[in-house]
Amino acid sequence: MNQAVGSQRATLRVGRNAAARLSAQVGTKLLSLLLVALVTRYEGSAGLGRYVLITTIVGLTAAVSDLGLGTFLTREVARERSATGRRLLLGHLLPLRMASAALGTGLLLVLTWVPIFPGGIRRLFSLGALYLLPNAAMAILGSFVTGRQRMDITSFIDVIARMLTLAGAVPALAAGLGVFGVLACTAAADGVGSSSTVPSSVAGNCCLACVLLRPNGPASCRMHTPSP
Amino acid sequence: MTSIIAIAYRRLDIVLLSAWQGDAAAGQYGAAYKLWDAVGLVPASLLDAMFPEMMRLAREPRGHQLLGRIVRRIGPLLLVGGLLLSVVSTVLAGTLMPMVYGRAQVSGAAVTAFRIQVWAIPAMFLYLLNGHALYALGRQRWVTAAMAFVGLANVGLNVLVIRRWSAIGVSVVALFSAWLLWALLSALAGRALRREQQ
Repeated sequence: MNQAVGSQRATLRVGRNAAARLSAQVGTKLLSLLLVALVTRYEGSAGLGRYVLITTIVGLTAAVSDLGLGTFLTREVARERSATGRRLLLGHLLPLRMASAALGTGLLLVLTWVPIFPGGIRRLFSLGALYLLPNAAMAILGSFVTGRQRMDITSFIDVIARMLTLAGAVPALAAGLGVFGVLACTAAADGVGSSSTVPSSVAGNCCLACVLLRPNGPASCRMHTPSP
Repeated sequence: MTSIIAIAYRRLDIVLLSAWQGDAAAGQYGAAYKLWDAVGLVPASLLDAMFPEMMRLAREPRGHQLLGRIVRRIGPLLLVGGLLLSVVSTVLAGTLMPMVYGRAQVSGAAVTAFRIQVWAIPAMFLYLLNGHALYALGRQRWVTAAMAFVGLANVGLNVLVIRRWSAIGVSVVALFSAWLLWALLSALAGRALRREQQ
């Protein structure tokens, strides 16, 4: 009986995670396309070129400075049964990831002095370099939450972060802040995303535990909510 | 390592284009690339959805034979689907690009770059199928090696074409790289499946 319930829960969890991941991928790609379309409309092809270049270089640096820590954390958190063990893992890996992101930031800041690219682009590199830090925090916390098999939460936060970017980018572009404004909004949105990842995971897990543990599911959750 | 190589393989061309041809050329290519990326969601989502089932088959006693059969049978269907998507995108490119980016901002070069890039979609369907099959068979390193090889070829060809053909040249190299990656992964997947079945 318990085995059947366990298997049913695992199937439900895998299905929910897959659906969340897929819809988030579609959502973030479409939001990203919308943002790129706005940048092109306001800043022209040259503005889009600058934006794409900075995001590409930041993306490459983020991938290198990750050092595989994200995948490692996801795998180890998924294996670890105790909450203390998970917290310890995060406690060890979060500073390491932030240190590697700081190193990446330093490297990008050095790149701003190399005369490969024109001056305007090099100034944007400084902001792109700083964007690595909130991006790294969001990525490593996301890996932790993914390890707890809550891809629905990481996917939701990804989409929300991109929506926040878009919401900030529209007035920034209209105010003439250009690509600099868009990059600042992206960094701010990732900052919000990273600071809400773990609290959302805890809240989400409480709700899920409530749904799964009560014999009558969500309805009984509502029954146990204190009434005024 | 695979994710770094994957990003480098797909995005280094923009860095090279920007460095040698400037922001406007990188913007034209970027506009085409971003739209191609959105169209590419179809094969990526479809193949991602198939991946868990491929993993399950690879673990079963006679699953390798079934996995091989699925790859052989689904391949031609994906090719036809990809070609249809490419034809539709090529025909609609002249309307789609100005609709997304604004008529004033879209140049003929960006539309041509998009028209070239969409022909990589059938290759993308096929290399994702073969790549996922290799992952399911535990041959991740083969995928990484193939991507590294294609990435190097991509950079080498871009160095040759960017100065003369700008965004159009980069699009042709991206198209060639996608089909080269399919050819390599298809050969590797075929070999891995034959080895598993022996």
